[in-house]
Amino acid sequence: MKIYRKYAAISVGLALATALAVVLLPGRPVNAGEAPKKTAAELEKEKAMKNPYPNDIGPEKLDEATLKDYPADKKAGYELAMVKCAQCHSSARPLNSRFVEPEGKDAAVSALKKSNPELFKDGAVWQIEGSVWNRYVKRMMSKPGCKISNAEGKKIWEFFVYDGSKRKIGANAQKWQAHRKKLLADFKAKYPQRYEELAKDKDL
Amino acid sequence: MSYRKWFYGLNFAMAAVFVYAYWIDYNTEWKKYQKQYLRMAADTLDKQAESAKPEQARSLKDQARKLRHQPLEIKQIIAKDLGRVDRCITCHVGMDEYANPAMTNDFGQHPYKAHPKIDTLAKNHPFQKYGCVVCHQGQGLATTADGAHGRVHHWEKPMLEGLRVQASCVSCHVNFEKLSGAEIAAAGKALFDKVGCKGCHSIKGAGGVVSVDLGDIADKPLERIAGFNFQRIKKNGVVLSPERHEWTLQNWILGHLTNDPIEVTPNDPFAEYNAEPVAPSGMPDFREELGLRGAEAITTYLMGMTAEQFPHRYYVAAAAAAEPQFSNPLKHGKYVYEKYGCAGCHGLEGKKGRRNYNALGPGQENLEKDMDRGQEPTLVDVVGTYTKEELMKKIAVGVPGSAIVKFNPNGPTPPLYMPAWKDKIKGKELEDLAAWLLSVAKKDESGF
Repeated sequence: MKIYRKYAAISVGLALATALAVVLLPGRPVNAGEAPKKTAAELEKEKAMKNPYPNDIGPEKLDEATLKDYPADKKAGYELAMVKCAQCHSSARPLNSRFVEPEGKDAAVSALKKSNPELFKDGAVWQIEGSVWNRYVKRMMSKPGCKISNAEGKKIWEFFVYDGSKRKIGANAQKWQAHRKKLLADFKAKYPQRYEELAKDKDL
Repeated sequence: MSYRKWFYGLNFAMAAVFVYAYWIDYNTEWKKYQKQYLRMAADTLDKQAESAKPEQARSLKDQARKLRHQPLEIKQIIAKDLGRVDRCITCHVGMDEYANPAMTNDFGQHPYKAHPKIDTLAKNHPFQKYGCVVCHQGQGLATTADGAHGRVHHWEKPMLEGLRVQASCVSCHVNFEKLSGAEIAAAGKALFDKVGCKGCHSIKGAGGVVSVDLGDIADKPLERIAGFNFQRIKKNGVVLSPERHEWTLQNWILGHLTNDPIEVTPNDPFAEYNAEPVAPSGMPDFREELGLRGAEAITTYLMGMTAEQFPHRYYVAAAAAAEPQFSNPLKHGKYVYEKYGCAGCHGLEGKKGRRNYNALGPGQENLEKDMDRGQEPTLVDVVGTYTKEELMKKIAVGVPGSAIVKFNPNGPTPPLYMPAWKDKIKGKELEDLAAWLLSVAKKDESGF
């Protein structure tokens, strides 16, 4: 009789331990019906940050000193970009980008080529094209789930065009060159493999 | 009961079994058909004798009498080279070169009628050499209609019925697209290319790598689709019969084209205990584009995709069709788009991105219900945001599945992705493809 009691006690103990384990251990996998932990935009951003660019390690905002001279509509474009673009990647990515779209499109690019040929020598510092920001803003807008309206996209595009002409070329060309070179050097030190990949693809 | 009574009783029972066995053998299906054929053939000769000259009439009546007294027999063709033994002519006597040397008759019904297109087919495929099942499939050794036609449990290659027999032309005739009598198979290939099946499915190495190579799909054993629930297939709007002889590879292929593949192969997008849920079939819904006739044509074409090796002299070789020449780069670009099956994901002429389960797509809100609204890019909407160089790079490098953002983060990885085409689309083809894509880009309506 005693031995039966012993076995019964062990069985009850095991059953209780199993029940406790089921309740307490977080072993159940996530299923598609459960609420997601991250939104699609957050996932997009996560994915973007897994494949960083030199731009990403630069400042995520423009300093007040720079911004204070910008016209109101460009400031509005900047504010929009900080909110909308940063949903899917860091705001540093467009702010520190090598892209420059001079006002005046292709004609302005041709004029720049004549007046400032040095700006076209290093594609990792300046990538000057007639409609590069226009294309990129529209490309981002065409991504499913992107909630940027045409009017907002236009404002963002106009800001980047203006911002590029102010900060990246003209009087600030030297300063921009130094900034980009530092970004590239820091990026190379931080992500040597990714640096090599991007250099190979001419996409630094 | 005495031993004597047992002895008589058992002898009587044994005699009854013998009689019953003889009766079954006497009434076998094939004997009825053969007897009926001989009777019909003899009647025809008698009728001809009525209007013939006396001497000829005697001869015809003599032939008719011989037919009426001809012993019934199992007839078979041993196609040694092809590894087939067929008994089809046991019932289809009108197609037996010995019983019906002219190989023609006026009988309109199977199994009595003669083989159609006998002038061309028999001349190029002597029946004594080829047999029947190498083209028609089915179970050559069987002597019942259902058995011989392969409509029985466990026979994996049922007859290619009706015009679907054209599938067999594909197996041996490299030039089947120009072959008289193989028009359905040729139309199937044309549709397979046009809607972009080959963008995902290669055929013997030629095509995309997103899904399986279909170069030997006709050999696929049913055990490889054993877990498949054939009752998910609707044929002409009706759920497929639970009869196992309907559960065939032909119906499986056709089912993917006449049903929404998500319903045919739903998998488990809400799986709880997998490391990751499993997306339904990535195959787009082609019902609208193909219709039933198109689906039948593609099924016919694919049923000719076998890796079975016949002796080389049975193949009809042909030089590969020359690449068409284009002086206009845009026309060439469009040709390249079709050649590589880009429409399989991006739609005809890039006008409508096809479904990509749980990828981001337009109008998605409900995380559970809207995963099937995921979509591949509609090229006419997006290519205008790329330069030609950027497009060329995108095509060359592709977009791996890991780079496609999920709509429902907890749902399955979207099944479709863009392979790197750099080894297949290059040089002028790549340049002209990019040029054509930019030419079809929608005009800017974004307001800036």
